[in-house]
Amino acid sequence: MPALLQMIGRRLISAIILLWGVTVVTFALMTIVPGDPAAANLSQQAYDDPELRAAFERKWGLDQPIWVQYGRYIVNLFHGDLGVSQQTHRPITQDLAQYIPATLEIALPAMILAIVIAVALGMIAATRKGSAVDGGIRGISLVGLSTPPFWLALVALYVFFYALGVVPNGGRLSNDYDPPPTITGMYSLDALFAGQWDVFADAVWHLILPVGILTALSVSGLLRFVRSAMIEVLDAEYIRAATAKGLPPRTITWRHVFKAGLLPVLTVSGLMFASLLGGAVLVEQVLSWPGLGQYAYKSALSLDLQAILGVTLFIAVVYTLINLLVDVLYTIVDPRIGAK
Amino acid sequence: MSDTTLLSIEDLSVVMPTADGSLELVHDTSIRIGEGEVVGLAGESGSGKSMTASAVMGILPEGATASGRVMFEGRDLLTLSTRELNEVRGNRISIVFQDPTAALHPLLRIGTQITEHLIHHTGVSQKQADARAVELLDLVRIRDPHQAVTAYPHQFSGGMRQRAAIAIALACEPRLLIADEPTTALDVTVQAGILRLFDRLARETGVSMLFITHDLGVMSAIADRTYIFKDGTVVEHGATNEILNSPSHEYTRALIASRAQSLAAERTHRGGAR
Amino acid sequence: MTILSPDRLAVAKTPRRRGFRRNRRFTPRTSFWTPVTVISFGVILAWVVAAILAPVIAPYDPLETSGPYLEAPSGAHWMGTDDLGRDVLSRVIYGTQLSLPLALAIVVFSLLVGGTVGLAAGYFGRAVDNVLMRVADLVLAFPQIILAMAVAAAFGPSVGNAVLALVIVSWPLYARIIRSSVLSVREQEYVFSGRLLGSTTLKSLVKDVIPNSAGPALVMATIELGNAILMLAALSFLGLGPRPPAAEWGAMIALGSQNLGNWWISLFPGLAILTIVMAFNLLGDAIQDYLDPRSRNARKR
Repeated sequence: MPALLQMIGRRLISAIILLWGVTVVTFALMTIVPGDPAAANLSQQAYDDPELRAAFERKWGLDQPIWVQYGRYIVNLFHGDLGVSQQTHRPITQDLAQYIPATLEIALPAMILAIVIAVALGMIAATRKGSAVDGGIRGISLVGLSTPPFWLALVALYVFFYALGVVPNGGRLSNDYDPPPTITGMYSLDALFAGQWDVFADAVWHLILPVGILTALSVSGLLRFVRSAMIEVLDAEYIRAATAKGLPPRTITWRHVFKAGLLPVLTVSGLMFASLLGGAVLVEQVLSWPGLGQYAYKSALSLDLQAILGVTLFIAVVYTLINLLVDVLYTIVDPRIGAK
Repeated sequence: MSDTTLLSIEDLSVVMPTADGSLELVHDTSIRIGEGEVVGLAGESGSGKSMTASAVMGILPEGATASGRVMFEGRDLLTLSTRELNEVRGNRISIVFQDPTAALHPLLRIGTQITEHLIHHTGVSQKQADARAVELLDLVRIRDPHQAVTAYPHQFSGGMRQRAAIAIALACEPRLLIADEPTTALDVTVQAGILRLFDRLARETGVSMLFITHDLGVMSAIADRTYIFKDGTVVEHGATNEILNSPSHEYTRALIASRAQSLAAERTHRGGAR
Repeated sequence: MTILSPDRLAVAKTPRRRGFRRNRRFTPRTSFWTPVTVISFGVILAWVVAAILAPVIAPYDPLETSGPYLEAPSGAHWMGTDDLGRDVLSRVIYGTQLSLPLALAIVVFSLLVGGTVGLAAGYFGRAVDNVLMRVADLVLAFPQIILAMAVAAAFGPSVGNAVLALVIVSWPLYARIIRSSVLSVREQEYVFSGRLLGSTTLKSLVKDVIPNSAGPALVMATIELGNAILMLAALSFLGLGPRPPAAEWGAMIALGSQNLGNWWISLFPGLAILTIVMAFNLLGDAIQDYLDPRSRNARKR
């Protein structure tokens, strides 16, 4: 147990260093960036007026030298203040609190579904290596990997909304519904907590398409890895030994192969979450889903430094947490680790 | 020489397709193992001895095909379906592999690896199987067997792992135990102990053995009869003593000679190193 | 591609196979030119030819109105026209002139930058190695699209900046490959020379690293060519790449998203991307299978 705590401690320290590094790099990049936030956020008239421009810069502290800006930012950070967004004029923490749950609402279910489906298909493909089933599964995976996510979203939107009319045209809720009282920020869960069944149903209905698309994309990537991890396990001597013990193939597949192959699959799944977020950006754009991707996009366009930094920090935190979670899972699942 | 035949390998051939046509790994091999016998299979690495064992157990590498007959308990093992073969494997015939570290599942406890096929084959309860597992670990002289059943393979030393593997192989009281170079991957200091274990098991439990090795010294210590294997087939066979003392085939002579040479080299090295 | 292939990460993360394992799979080694490989190569070749011969084979000028607005695929316009009356087929063909050279540029520059970093990390070792690889890790773990988006937005949307953004996002993959190659070359030297000759010169190290890493680097580069095309399309879809009215596939898809009913505007550019990226992925796989030492070992027995 102390070994585990030690590891967590070490991870936390490197995480803090990492996050600090992220702030430094992002700030540094922004200094060499030729873009001018004032130009990006003010109308042409306002920009031409030197007084208005100076007022803008004063308001956002842009007239100070960069290290002063950086210092102020770090101080605020310790107070849990990420600054105010130039484009929404709200505290960034508030923005994040609104947009992050929206993305999580589609990313988390997609991740879970993708893992389950990918493991199942991957094992089937691995145990039937070289067969038509294997070829088919690999083919589907290949198509999913080669498809532009935003195009897939459009095609799905066309087929299921425009042509078949079974899903809504993007957005999180239909116009006739109001969002439920905020607890998690995820409309479906919050509606459930509030007992608003009709809102819940509507929210879930809106979730179908984005979650489906993200799942399909994630499965493709994960599937290849699961398959090759399982094939490597199938090659192992201990699987041969298990066969020589006269155990039925099903037992071998699910107790021996699955267990051994699960570990590398877990690691990769953790890594995939970040790329899932990336895919979410594009899908959110197509389906008008007001999530973190949309927020990042708008912030990038308006050169909203603090907002971009907020998003970046959040992602870095997620990255660290996931790595930590994967490491902890590893020590739990693999008895060889920590045996010193 | 035993009267009743337990396993009879008749005209076995194992063929493997490669990029340059078919490769015959084993050809025209006939081996007989009698009840209660320890039969040795000696030869260099790559001579096809392990392939023969794999053919008996039905675990040939992908793509390889076996022809001929492997008669056991009145049936030809080569013709059995997977389900029928699974009734035999691990139950009536068991195998111990060369590298115990690779052959044991890294994520399953030793106890589980003993009981899982025991329960499957004999239908005993979990509790009975657990008790038997402790007995078996005691049989193979693993210290503190009650603790050992809960352990994972990586917590054992190499020698202990092989003992555990032997315990696994003996779980269902098989009639035949195949040992494929069981000491080769082990430390020299540990090898003797494992050999003694095999010897004791043969004498105490009466299990028949097919003992595969490249080491003639090991052969002379443990095998009643020996088959000399070269390039995929048997070149000489007979009682171990007779073969080693008065070999008829020149290959056997060469083997013995090289063994003597390496022994002599070892002695001088040890002498000089002092 | 924004949903990262874990293979990409896996190849980047694992340096070499651990030692020699008694290989139980005797796969007969077949020629490199399987039907799948031939088809993939053919597809890529076809698109390259399309890029070169665009002015000749495109029926209309991609930038000019050549027909009625928003016309569905017909005899005159096989892929229909967009909202400005431009022929979609011609724009798809001309799209190759943007996507292919840009993707190549991205891969080449990423390889150069990443290779240099990997070389430095392997050569200097210790602290330098640590820092560089941590940075590489972070870049790799970051959602590609967000990083690329931020860079492209900060420096202004243009072709050059899109390339820059994607190079920034992709170099770590090559850095890892080159670094592990450097490490394994040094390991071999240590074994052979027993440190008699002292430390290696940078020059001789490079000479050894290039052939050693050529295989994995080639596989990565092939797959990355496909990925670069996907990412370029994503950036221009977001309005951060080549500016309109350039016929870039991603931008065309974006245009189509505003006219959902006119499915042909988005469908065909997307199919173009799909086919060429699939071809690159398959080809990369084929090269990897061919170079895989495991299938080579099979011949020895």
